[in-house]
Amino acid sequence: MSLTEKEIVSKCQRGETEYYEQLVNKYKRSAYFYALGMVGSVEDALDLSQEAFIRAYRSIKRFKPQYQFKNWFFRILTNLCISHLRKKRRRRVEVSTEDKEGRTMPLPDDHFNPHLLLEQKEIMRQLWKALSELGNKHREIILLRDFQGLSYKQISEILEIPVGTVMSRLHQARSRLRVKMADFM
Amino acid sequence: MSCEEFELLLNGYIDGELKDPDLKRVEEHLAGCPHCRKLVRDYQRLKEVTAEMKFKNPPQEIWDSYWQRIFHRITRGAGWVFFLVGAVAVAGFAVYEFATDPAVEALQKLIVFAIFVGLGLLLISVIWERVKASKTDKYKEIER
Repeated sequence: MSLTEKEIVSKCQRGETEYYEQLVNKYKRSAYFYALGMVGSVEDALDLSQEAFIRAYRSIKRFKPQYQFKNWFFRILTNLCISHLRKKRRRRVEVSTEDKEGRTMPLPDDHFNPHLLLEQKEIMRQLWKALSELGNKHREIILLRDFQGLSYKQISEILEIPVGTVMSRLHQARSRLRVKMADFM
Repeated sequence: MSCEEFELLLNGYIDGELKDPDLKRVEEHLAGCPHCRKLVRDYQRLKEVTAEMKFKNPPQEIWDSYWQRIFHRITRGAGWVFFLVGAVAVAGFAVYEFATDPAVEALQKLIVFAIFVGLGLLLISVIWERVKASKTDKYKEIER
């Protein structure tokens, strides 16, 4: 007899590690693709998604059953991705070069490669580039809504913001995306 | 409803997240505003394009070994906790036995105690230096 997600979580909270595999298998793909959209690198997306599962397991006793595991897990994953991007940005600025006039030039970013896309259409390449140029807050909300298909309520739980803020932030994000995609629409 | 008000609710409308009375007000506004109807079409088109974007799937081996990597790290963490608790207990017991052993002279105990205190101080000094460096070292994120 198959267990419900709540029952699986409850078993994991009692230390029955073998049940955690079911949760990992259920969400590993969406976790990986979300992280890939956030950080734009296969290796980093794998590491971050796995790290998020490990952190979720280590703090699963603190998980409150009235929430959905997926929302709680995606909050952990989002925080990890944002923290990773901040560290990476600091590193790129610090390990920078100087141009002829002595101005500091950050190293070019080799992530968000168009070869990660399934279809190599020009419009998809442009969309991927436009997404990579959005701020982290705008990229995460587009990924959660349009790629993960989450409701505003779920997004508000993951990002810990009111539903009204989800709507306004999504509006800002899509408006910026629309401007960047203007030539392709 | 003004066009500015409509724009605030536009994304909720195209995502099907609006409920009455907002939904009714939006539909009434759209019926009489060609500018906002065009806006709706533009954003719906953007949503369609976004929904089409897919990433390549990594090789099957990655998915096959995905859980194993997590499982090893989870169980390794528990292993370290048990090891450290055991090691501290054994060390504490050994120190107690040595300190209370009547066959060992007080001078010998003092010398061994001095050696361990010295080692302890050196260890604390190294850890302290590392902690301080990690807070100020701007190259700490660089993989060597």
